[in-house]
Amino acid sequence: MITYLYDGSFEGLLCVSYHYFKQPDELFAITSFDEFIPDAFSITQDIETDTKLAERVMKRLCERLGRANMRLVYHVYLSESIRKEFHIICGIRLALKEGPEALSNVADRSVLFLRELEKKVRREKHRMEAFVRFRKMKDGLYAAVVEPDFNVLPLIAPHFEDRYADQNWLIYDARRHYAIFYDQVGVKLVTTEFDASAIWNSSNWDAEEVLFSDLWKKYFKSTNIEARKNARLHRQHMPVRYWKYLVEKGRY
Amino acid sequence: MIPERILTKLSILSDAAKYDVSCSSSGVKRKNTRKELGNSSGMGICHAYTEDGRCVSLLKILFTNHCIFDCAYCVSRKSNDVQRAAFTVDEVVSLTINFYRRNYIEGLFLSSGIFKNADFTMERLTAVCKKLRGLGFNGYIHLKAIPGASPELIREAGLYADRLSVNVEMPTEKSLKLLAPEKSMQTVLHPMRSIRSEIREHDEDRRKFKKTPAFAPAGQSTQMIVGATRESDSEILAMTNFFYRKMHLKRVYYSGYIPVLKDSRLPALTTKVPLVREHRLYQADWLLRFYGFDVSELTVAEQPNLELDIDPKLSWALRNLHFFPIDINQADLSDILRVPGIGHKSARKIVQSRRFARLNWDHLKKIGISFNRARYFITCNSRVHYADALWKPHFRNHLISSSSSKYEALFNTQLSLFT
Repeated sequence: MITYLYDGSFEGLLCVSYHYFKQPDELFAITSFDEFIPDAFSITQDIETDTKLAERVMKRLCERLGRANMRLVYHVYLSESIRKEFHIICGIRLALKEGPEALSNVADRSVLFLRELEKKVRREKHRMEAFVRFRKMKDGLYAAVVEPDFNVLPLIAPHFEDRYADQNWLIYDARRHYAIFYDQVGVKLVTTEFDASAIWNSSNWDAEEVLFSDLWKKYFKSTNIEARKNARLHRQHMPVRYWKYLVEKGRY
Repeated sequence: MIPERILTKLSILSDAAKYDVSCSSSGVKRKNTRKELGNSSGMGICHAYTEDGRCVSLLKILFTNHCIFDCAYCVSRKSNDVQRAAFTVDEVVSLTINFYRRNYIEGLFLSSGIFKNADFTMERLTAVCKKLRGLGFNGYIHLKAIPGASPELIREAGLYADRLSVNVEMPTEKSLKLLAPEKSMQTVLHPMRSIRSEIREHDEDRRKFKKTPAFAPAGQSTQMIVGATRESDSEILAMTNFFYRKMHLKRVYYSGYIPVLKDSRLPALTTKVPLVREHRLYQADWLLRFYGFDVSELTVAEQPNLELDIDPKLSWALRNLHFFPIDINQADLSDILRVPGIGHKSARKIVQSRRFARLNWDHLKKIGISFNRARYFITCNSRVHYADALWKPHFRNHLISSSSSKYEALFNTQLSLFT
C-alpha cells in the first residue's frame, strides 16, 4: 500500500490527486508530513506541491465535476479532519467514474463522509458569520477574535467583505494563529505573530466602544422573556464554547 | 447621546418590544454595490440567542411606549402604570448603525406605541427608515405598519423597509372587541390589503421596468396571540390559512400569551405560557407551507384543537392509517412528505438517492430520518418490515410510550391546570 505524503496545503492535495490518478489503486493512504508516523510496512511517496500543477488539476476537476462539487471538496479539506484526504480522493474517483451526480448518493460510504463533514463546516461558517463581535479600536479598525472548530476564515471572508465594505476590519483565529484583514480594498491573510489580548484591552478602544458594548449587553438582557426561560435551547443554539468571545456572554 | 439616558431608554423600549416574535431577517437581496455599509444576502443570520432560546437577529425596539390605545393584552396599554420613554430619530439611527458595524445584528425591527395619532407615529417610523437608507445602510429593516395610518405613508415606508407587518393579535373579531376596544378586524385588514396590492403592483411594474424600486421585498407578516382568549386551534388555523392564501403573507407568527397584566378579561397571572400549544401551531403552520397539507386536514370537527401530546403530522397519520404504509422506493415526494418522522430535507434526499440504489433501512437511517417514528409507516428494500403494527389495537399508545418527548414535563403541568 502506498502512503502519499504532502505538505498539508489544498494545492498539495490537488497534486496528490494528480499523482494518484496516474495509477489509481484501491488501497492507499494520504497524510501530511507533520502527521505521518512511520511504520515498517508502508511504502511512502513524497508529493511536492506545484502551484501550476494544482491550478491545472483544479481547472480540470471543475470541468469534470462541476464547481459545486469542488466547493464540497474544499469545505471538507477545511474541516481538518483525519481521513479527509482519503475520502476526498475516493469521492473524486467515484464522480469521475459514474458522473458528478454520484456525489449526491449518500448510500456510498465516502460520499456520506464528505456530505456530513461539509454540513458541519457550513454550519461552522454560518456560526462564525453570526458570532463574530467587533470591537472598535482607536484607529477606527473593527477587530474580532474567534476560535472556530474548523478552519473557516477563508470561507467567511467574502461575507464580511460584502457587508462591511466601508470600514477596516480584522478577524483573528486564536486557535490557528492567523487573521484576515480588510483595508477597504481587499482581504489579506495575516500570519505574522499577533497579540490577541490587544483587542480586549479597553485602553486601545474607541471612545464610544464601552458605551455601545454596554448598550448591547443591556439590550440582550432586556429582550429576554423570563417566563419562557429555556436554558437547554439557549445552549443548543449558542454552545458554551463560543461564549468566551461574545460581548453579551463573555469575559472580554 | 448621554450614556445613562440612552441605556434607560433602550432597556424600557426593548423590554416593551420583545413580545413581538418575528425575528426573520431573510428573503431579501439588498446588495452592497457602492462600498457602503451592509449587505443582505437573502439568508438570515441569528446573531445571538437569549436565555429563553429565542434568536436575536434584529434590534427590536419600540420608537416609544406612549400609547393612546388601551388593548388589554399589551404591556404598553394606556391604563398600565409603566415607565414611558421615547427615542429620537437620530438615536435609533445611531444605535442601529453602531450595532450593525459590530456585527451584533442584521438590522432593525421598529415598532411603536401610537402617540398623538396613527399618522404622526407612522411618519416618525418612516423618517428613521429614510435616514438609514440615506446613510447607505443596506441592512434589513422590518417596520410596523400602524393601523389607521394613511395609505400614502405606508406606501412610502414600503419603499425603504424590507418587511412591513400589521399584527392582528386576536384571531377573531369577537376577541378583538373584548380586549382591544379601539381596534377592529377591519382596521387591521385594511393596511394589510393595501400592502398586498402595493407589493403586487410593484412586482408587475418590475417585470416591465427594471428600475422600479422594490416594495417591502421580504413581504409582510403578522402575529396572533394564543391562549389569551378562547379560540380553538381550528379557528386560529383558519385565519392562518386566510393570511397565506388570500393575503399572501410571508409568515404568520404565534405568540403564547404571557400573563403580564391583571385584568378580569384575561387569564390569571399564574397561568403558564402555553408553550406546547404554540409549538404545535407552528408545526401545523409548517405543514401548510412546506408539506402540502390543506388546512381542513389538520383538525377535525369533533376535536377542534391540535393534540398536545403528539405532533399534527402524526395526528393526521393516525386518523388516516389507510394511507400507509407507503413504499419509499416508489412513492411520490408529496406522499413521502406526509410520513411522520420524515422531514422535508430527508424526503428530498430519499428521492435523490433512490435513483442510485433501492434504499433499505440502513440507507434511510443514514439519510437521517427518525427511524423509530417513521418505520411503521413505510416499507423499503428489506425483508424486515414494521407496518403490521399499524393495525394493532394499541398502536397509538405503543408509539407514544416508545418515544420520549422533550415537552413531556411541560405537557403534564399544562394538563393539570384543567383538572
